[in-house]
Amino acid sequence: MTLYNPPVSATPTTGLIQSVRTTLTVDTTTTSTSFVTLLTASITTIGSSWLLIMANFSTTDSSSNDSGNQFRITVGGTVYAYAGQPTSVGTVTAQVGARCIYTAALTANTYVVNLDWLTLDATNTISCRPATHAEGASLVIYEVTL
Amino acid sequence: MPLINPIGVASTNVLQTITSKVTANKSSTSTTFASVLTATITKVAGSNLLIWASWSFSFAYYGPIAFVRLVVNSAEVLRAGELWDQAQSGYFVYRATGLAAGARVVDLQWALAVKGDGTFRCRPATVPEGAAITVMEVSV
Repeated sequence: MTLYNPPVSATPTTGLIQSVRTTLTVDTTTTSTSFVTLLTASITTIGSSWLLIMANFSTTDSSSNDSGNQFRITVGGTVYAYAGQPTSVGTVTAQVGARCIYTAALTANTYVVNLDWLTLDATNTISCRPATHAEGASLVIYEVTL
Repeated sequence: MPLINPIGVASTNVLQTITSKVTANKSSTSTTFASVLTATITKVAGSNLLIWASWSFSFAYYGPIAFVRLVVNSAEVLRAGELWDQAQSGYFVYRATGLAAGARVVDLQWALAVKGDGTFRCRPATVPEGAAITVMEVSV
């Protein structure tokens, strides 16, 4: 009898438990000066685990008035990190930014991870247009127990 | 009886994870690299370190040129540039191999390019800025 790859546990219980990725696919804009969600992901954790979250974004501001934009990462409504992003000066050009954070220990639950954004100047429009321009945003999440 | 892959699920390949972040406002006018944030991990022989170091910094001056770098075990491994007065963000991802067992320090550092050209700022206590380091010790 040859035994190939005997039954294994379907879900690991230690170390790297799972990973989730979400990428913005549709063109999105905002003129909001309070945080609104750009990209969201959901993950159901096993309990006594942590999330390692990586967020990347490339966006363009409609103005080159040196006002600046802000991003943040939230998990279950808790803010874990902020990320600044400059507007351009002189010529409107795309800018990039990124943050990576490690959460506090989480109980078993389904958590919503959001990448939020705002403009610091209400007359400006921030655009993230992966469908039509060289812009985009993504969230990658690892759940780990150690 | 040939037995292929008899192990099933291996024991974990993540050995430990540590994290640290800046909590008090910090600033620097130095043109030589100075530490913003460190994380120390005590590792076993043969393991590797996966490192994520991220930041959102600003400058108290219009248009300075500045640098951020990642130092692992006293050696620079990555460097990035920063420009402008508005807050800017980014992160390093690095896999450190070949480090001996013992305590190893991961250091996120900053420096201005020109003396007197503004002030590098990280002010998580008062504005949306910050920095964090996460180090994962893995066996693979």
